[in-house]
Amino acid sequence: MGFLALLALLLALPKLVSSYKLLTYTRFLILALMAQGWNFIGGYTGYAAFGNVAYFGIGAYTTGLLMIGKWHVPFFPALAAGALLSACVAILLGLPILRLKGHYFAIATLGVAEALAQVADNWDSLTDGSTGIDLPIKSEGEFFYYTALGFVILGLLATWAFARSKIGYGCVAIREDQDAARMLGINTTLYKGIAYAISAVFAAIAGGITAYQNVHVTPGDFFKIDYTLQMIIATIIGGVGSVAGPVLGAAVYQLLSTYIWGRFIELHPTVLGFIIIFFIVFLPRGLMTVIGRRRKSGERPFKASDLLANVRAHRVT
Amino acid sequence: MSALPVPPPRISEKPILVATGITKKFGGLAAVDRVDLSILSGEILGVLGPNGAGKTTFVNCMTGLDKPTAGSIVFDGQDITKTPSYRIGHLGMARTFQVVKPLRQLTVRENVATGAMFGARGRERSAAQARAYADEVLDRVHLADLRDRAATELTIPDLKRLELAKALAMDPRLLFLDEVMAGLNQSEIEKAMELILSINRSGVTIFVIEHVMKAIMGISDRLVVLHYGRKIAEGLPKEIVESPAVIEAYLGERFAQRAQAAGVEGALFVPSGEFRKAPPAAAAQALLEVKGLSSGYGEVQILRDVSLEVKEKEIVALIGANGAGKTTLLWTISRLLQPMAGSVRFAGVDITAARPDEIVAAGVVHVPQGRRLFAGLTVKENLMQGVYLRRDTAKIASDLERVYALLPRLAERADQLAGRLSGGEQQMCAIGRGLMSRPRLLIIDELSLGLAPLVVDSLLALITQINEEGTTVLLVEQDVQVALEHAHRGYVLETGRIVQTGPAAELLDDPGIRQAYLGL
Amino acid sequence: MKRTAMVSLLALALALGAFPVAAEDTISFGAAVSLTGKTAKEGEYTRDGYNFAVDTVNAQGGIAVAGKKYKIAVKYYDDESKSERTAQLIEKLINEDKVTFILGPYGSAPSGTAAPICEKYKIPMIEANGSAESIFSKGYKYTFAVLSPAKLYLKGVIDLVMSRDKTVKTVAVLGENEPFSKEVASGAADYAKEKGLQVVYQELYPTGTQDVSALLTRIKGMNPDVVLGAGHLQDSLLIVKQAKDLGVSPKAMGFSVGPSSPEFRENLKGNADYIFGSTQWTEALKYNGDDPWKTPKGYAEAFRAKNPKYNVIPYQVAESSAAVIAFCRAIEKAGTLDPTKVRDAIAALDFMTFYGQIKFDSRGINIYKPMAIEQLQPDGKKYTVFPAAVAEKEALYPMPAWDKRK
Repeated sequence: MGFLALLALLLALPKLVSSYKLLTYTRFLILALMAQGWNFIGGYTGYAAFGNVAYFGIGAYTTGLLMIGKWHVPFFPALAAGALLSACVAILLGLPILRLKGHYFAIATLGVAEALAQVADNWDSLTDGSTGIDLPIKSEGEFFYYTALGFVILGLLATWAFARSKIGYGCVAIREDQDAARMLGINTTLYKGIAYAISAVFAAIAGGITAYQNVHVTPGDFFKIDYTLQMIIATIIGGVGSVAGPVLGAAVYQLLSTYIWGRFIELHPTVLGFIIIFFIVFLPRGLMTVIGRRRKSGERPFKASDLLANVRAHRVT
Repeated sequence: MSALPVPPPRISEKPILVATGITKKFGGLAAVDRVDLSILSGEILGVLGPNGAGKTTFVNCMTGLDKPTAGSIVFDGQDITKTPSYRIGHLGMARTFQVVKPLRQLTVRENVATGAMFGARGRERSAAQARAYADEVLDRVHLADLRDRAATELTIPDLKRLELAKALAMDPRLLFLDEVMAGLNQSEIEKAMELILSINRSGVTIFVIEHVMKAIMGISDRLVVLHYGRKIAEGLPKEIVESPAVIEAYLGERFAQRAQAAGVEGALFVPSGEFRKAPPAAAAQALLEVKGLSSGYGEVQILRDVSLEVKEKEIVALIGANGAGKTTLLWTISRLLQPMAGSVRFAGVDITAARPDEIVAAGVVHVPQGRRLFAGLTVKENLMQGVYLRRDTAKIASDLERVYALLPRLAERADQLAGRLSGGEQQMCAIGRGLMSRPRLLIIDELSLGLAPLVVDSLLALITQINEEGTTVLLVEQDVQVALEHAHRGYVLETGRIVQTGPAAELLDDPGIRQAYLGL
Repeated sequence: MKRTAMVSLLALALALGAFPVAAEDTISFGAAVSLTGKTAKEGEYTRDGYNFAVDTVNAQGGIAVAGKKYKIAVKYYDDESKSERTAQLIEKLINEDKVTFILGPYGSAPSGTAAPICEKYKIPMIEANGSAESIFSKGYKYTFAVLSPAKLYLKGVIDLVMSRDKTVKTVAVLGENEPFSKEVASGAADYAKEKGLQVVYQELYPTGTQDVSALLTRIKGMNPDVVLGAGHLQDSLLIVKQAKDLGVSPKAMGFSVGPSSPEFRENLKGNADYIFGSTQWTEALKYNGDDPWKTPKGYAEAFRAKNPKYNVIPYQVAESSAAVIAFCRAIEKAGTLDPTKVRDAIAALDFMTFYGQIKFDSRGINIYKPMAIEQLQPDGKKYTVFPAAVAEKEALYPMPAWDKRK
């Protein structure tokens, strides 16, 4: 009931708020989409991926390059192509790096993001390097809002179904103990690859929508580590390994960041940092645990600190 | 190989698994060294061996988790030497882990459902069907009551049972059990034995590693003994416990006697008056006084109004079923848990509000259950953590020598990372670390957990020795007989309350205790 | 002199404080400039340049539109030197703060981000600090730049060196990989080749680089006659420091951005000597324009009077003021605040200012204004040395090796 009311409100929002406010809401949805994606690899599979912005960038560039130049592909097919390419890149890169454990994996993903940024920066003939590319201008803010909203709702359904599926169980088992997972008959390489590819698809869709909305796409802006951090922080705030946590976390993050940004122009990164520490220390399982006490289907809560523990080289058995 | 004289009809002469020349080297060290072993279809094969003998590594090789350096494995006519570990389960093998590996954040039911989804018959089941099947398995292992609890909330014995349930849910034809009974008390062991027998009788071949002699003697059709990675004996249980080589390497005289008795009559209790100790004079000073203590986790109260006293130079045994609150009591004394009510005094000083480090500084050292070593440090570095608060630096070197002399395995492994030790070796290291602190009061939670009988024997001798030298000991031990034989006095804890206390010898003779904890 | 300046400043402050301008008589401008982050210093120049022009125009009564005088108000945001922030801020300025016109951010990268947003809402933007031609190659109609395009920045250094030394043969160019610097670097390299010089080294380093010693080591091995750097203030400081440490001693060193800022001298002290910097504007130039200050000197004196902390006036300040002046002129010409009409008036501008000619080509970039070259000399001062017509002093050439200096 409450959910339907919320949905109705979200659908009616463009009629209720100014176009700038709508832009802020769209940004929240984009962040939610990225966080939802990260939740698959970071939340359900327990792999601290720090390079998901790479797929955000691939999505943005693929969508953009297909829409301009000689092809002039319409937006949605271009977006789908970006998502597909991201998934392929994630699987190709994932095969070697998903074998790494703990902080080696985290560092490798960071490296991937950096390497792809350099590719975009230096492949002048395709990407026009640091100059960037400009997409066709579309000024209807509602279009971006509804597109993002649609994908976030799809993302919620996908997360819920994933958590209850065999793949979901397999991924959570990998997160909890890789050796145990193998002994339970789980093809760990395959499942990690699937989770990583799904997270890449979400990031690519977010990237494609953002590119179309922002028009101007440059490597500096679309391969920025900030995006990775935001999606991780949003997921931690909402609840790592929960269905609605990333969306809730993205809402809170966007709210906090907008409010704090307005209040503490110079200090806002610091203030935001303290809030993040607060969540990790006092609400390690995120806001979802506060809202719903009972364990709901699809919820696979995971402490943020456990994620960091997964990053450590030696786990005490 | 000495075959069974008259094998029961459930055992076929055809082996389900044949391992030939299995060798596994870590660095230069051969953990498993040219072992040939056949597991007959339908049998229960028991495996014994000192801590670090390579038993778990052998299972790791069989299940693909470690790739053997040399040798071959044939399962059901198929060469599986190079099969990836995740396929092992699909073929019909399953295992438990000695150091339990639950899927911690999942519920008990979800843990078991995961096994049902990916095991030998996983493909036939949807996720929902797997969850339903998990319930059946949980009923079988008596974990149904806990099905919705997160694995993190379970006690060690329940986690051991969960290991078994996960493995069972994979519908294995061959099941490897790695010390599933460690930490269970005698009556729980009886139940576990029944369960293993019933699994076996339903057609599952079982390979079982266990230090609990009563159990392994009671259920095994055949026994194999590993020592330094080599197979040193194989045969019928009765032959094995009488083998001089096995007694020397593993059992020790006393346990051999007990094990033989168990094998023959199924009984464990051997009256051994020589171990009984008279309580010290009543006038002795109380070192630890616990008064009206209540404690628990969050809103769950576990201990209710517990009072207990440990006198200077005394060994006090704390006994009780799993879940009675023994560990909670120890944790509250060393302030790893905060008491809800009551007081704790040590050497006349109220330490109820002290910090854990202050309590250690006062001379109370706690060897916790589950080892808690620094996995990234070497054995020697772990031992030296014990001297952190000591001032008498001159004696540290000689104490280290003494610990090495008492636990020679630690000397051999001094420069290895603690995380690489076998389960039993980790336990030794934890106790060694406790001893290095030269405590006034040494608190040990589960002394014998996962240790070979010979080692338990030498540790008990060690405790008697340091006690005679002046260290007071508070001991929690599942082997109630061993505990009471070595203690001066005992306390019995049931559902968070002290229900009985007295001189250890009297408790050992008490019919109620013999029935409840010794299975007599 | 100082006294009158103080008095007029006080009067101005009082006037502004005493008569708060009514909202309906105000034209609101919006600007997102970098006040923190990598280009915080340049962003501060930009804001100070905008503010100085706005205050001057307001003090003279404001802009006359169809017989009515309007005051100007500027709403600022800090883009934190992150160009992805720019998109958000320009949206906020246009949609939430409802500004009528946009003054550009600092730098080509954020200008490139801002341009399509202005295009989207058909809000004209005149920017003064984004000279990359890539911004103007997309066919946007609402973005204009008052400054000379990036590719011309280092042309003057090459011309100057070649006029002094016929034996010069080799040039090394290193630049930051971002839109503006990339064009500066390739423009300089192309021009050098055109002049028959050999470009022995041409490399871009990533934005935010903290170490260019590897690049400089390569350059040292090639021993070029001229080293040209295309980046921003922080990059130029880094290159000079590391060039000295590594003993890279060409006959001339020139930078696109950096030498004209007072911080360049403050940071490098004597090591700043002999270095050439390109500049969009210096107070030594000889323009006579149709604006409140007329000449570069007039502008400089008025600006210093109001902003005493500036001893030397960086060109970013002047070009930013010029953007405001261009806007005022176009609005007056259009006789309306309608953004589309104002846009057409901007496109048709052709007038002389203290800053030089302001006239936009069909893309919106000002190709009609020349660049100048300055040099920091051992007397601690900075002189305009090129082109010869406006030179205050003759350039010192060649640059002595680092170890031959006193």
